[in-house]
Amino acid sequence: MVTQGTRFRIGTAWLVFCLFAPGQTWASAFDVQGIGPENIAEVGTRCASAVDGSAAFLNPGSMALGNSTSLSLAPTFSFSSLQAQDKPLPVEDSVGFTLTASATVPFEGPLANRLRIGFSGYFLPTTALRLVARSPETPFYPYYDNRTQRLVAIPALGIRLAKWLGVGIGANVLAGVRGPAKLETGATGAPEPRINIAANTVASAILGLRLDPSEKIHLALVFRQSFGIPLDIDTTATIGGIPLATNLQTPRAMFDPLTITLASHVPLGKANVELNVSYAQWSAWESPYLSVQSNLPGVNLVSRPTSGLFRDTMAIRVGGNYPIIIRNNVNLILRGGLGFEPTMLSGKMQGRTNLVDGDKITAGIGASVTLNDVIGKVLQFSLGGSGQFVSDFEQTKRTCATLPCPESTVVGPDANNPSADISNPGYPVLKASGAVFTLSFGVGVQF
Amino acid sequence: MSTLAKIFFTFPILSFATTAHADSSTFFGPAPRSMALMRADIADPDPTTAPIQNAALTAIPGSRFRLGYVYGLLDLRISGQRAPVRDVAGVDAGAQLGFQLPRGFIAGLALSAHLPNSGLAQIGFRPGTEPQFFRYESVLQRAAFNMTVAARKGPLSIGLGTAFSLAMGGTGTSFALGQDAQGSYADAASNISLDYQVAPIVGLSLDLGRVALGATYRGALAVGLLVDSDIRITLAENPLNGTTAISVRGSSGYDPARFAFGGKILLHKRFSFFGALELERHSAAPPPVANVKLDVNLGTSPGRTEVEFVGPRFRDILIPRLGIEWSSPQGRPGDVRKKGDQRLRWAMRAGYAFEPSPVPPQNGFTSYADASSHAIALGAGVGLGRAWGIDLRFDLAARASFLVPRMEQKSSPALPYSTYEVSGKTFVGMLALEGAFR
Repeated sequence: MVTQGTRFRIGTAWLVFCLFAPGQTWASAFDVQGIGPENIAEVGTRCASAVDGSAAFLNPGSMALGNSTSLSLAPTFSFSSLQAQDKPLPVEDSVGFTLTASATVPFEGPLANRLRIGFSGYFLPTTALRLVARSPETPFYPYYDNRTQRLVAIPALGIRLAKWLGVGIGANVLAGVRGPAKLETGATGAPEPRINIAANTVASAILGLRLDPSEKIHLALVFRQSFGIPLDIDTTATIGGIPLATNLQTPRAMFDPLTITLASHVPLGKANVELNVSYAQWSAWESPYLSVQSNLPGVNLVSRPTSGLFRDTMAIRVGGNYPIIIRNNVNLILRGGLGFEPTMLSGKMQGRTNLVDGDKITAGIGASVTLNDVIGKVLQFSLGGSGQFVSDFEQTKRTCATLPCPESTVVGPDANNPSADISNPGYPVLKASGAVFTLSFGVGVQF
Repeated sequence: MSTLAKIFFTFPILSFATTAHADSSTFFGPAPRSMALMRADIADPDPTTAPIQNAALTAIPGSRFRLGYVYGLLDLRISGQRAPVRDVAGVDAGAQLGFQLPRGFIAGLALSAHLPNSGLAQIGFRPGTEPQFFRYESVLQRAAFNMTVAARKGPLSIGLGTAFSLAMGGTGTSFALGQDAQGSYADAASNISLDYQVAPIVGLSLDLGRVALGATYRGALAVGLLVDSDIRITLAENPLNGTTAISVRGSSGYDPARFAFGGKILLHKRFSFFGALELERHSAAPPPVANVKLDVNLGTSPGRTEVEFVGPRFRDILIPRLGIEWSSPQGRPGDVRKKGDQRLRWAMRAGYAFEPSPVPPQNGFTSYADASSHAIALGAGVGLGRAWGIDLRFDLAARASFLVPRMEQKSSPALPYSTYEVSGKTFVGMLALEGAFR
């Protein structure tokens, strides 16, 4: 019999491994919206309880302790009442489809029932990716920007080390873009392009652990590497014999932060309740803007660097479900949740930039109906919705009074009178408020 | 194992699915057996290669997965000088699930993927006047993803599927180079999208025992590129102040529609002959170079602001493919084993193909480089037996092709690259491990 001490040591070792694993990438709509109607209704919890395909994203270690084959498909729709400077900020690419699947690898012998594989995917209807990089003066919410606009494909492997212990790893693959693009006068005298842009593979990991101290209590630890798509394009255009050279760069577009989640799942009477506490390392994000370096004859122009815009956050979420038997083979599961996440903006006084954000309270509600032995063992229809309410944002801009003008001030075009003719859209006061709502309907089957 | 449980062996493949189209797997073969038979196995491909070779053969009972690696050296030359064409290298993977249905039907699902070492995709354009091996460049440096489903009743099978590709578009990128009271600045805003493109895959198969026939169609795919760029310069006393709009658009790495018909004859219990004819429809290909349009309002102006290349008028080509396979008395690697049968199996393979060039004589500004080629291949496979519930096999193949030297002599020596010779060789090797659950 494995002792509690052994379980603790294994858990600690996994925690240390997760913390020192190299940080790089991963992503997505799942972070912002949730994954499928069940998870959306339970406000992103279920890291310690999901054993189906959604666990490829939520916790591959938890997936290792499941034993059924599952498949589910769920259209998801988000809409927003967010606004900044009285201009609405809709959710870009608001419709997507979540596909999840899981199964046990049918090994025999010592590996029998030890390995499980799963998949979490999010597919936009017409495009695999849409990257929108905004100019520095545009007001927008970086928390929501570019986070629902790309395909997500996360295959995962779960290993059942013991009945009470599962570990797992998931991978996310996408592409960064890099390479030169030149426009030069060709042999015909006309401008001809020479382009060699490569979409390099960007891969990242999700590491998960699930530890069951007893049959009813589940604990989980999940480590998700930060995600960012590198973009680095050199363009050279020779116009009328004059070379215009520009480098466009961002180390991490479509950023999602490194996240560490601790979760516990306990029964309370007939209900199941899960508590998730998550740390998100937003401070590692350099900037949401493209960096530009341009060389014109006699002039070298570079983007003004931004720094210290973001801070790390600690979020707490409570989700749960309550099953009700309707008939012999029909069950109703009521779901709900509540969460709080503070703003990721550091509160630093902004000059030209107009980033907005606020503390977020998320409330979710939903229900599932399960039919036993109709198709497969269990056929499940689920509906889930959530609302994320963002506190009001307000920042009064500071004008430049003395030269040289500091980064934290706004200026006009005239260096002799910097506080005149300021056209920055966030001046004199930058204001924003609103909420984001998500709705999902899903069909799933277990075999 | 439950039927659907098997499905999920296919899902790791989706991790490679973020971008896709035709690639080295349709050029050289998706697996060692297919490569060694010079892709003549249209009538009898392995189930994991069915998405590339013939979708109808997806409907085979059991489940299988394959993982392989391909490496190719491309020694392509223009006037004796080695052309800057990258070698080909990457992972090939496949998965297939087939199951029995009532009334004697068999259904199947298969996924096939190719992931190059270099990344998921490459969009490459050279100036249209510069000699370029467009059939060996971008198209061989891309990830690929194909998915097929099929049904079988008795000797007849039919399969359908899709090959996926991406086009790069969006509203473009705008640059603002200017200055305010804090000094100069360089700002950019961008809207880039990768939109899906799909092409149909259709396959038919008729298995009459000693003789099998197959036909397959695969639609054309290319990576579209649309890049619009607006540059606004507002610097004090700078002669370049003004705006420049640059639009670049084209199709990189066109892979033509393909129709193939093939047969297999079992000449002896241990000896099979394969033959296939493949039609590649290059006549529908767009120019493999990008068109450019400039709208300049600066202190200086270029002499010409627009270039657009006409259709390349490539020719459709018909490729004959031949292959032979000699297997052990116990059967081929991958054949169904009886319970307790752990005997080693083997197979030896060889193939030949002649690939005409679709490129017509070059007489104008363009200088496309290509030549007809003879290709031969050899390969072998070993069935290792069953371990931990998996029936394992290992296959390898090597392929060499030799371009028939070709001299391009344009009508006027004043034209760019008026004379050049095309020649070269390619050497490709592949190995793969396949496991089957039954």
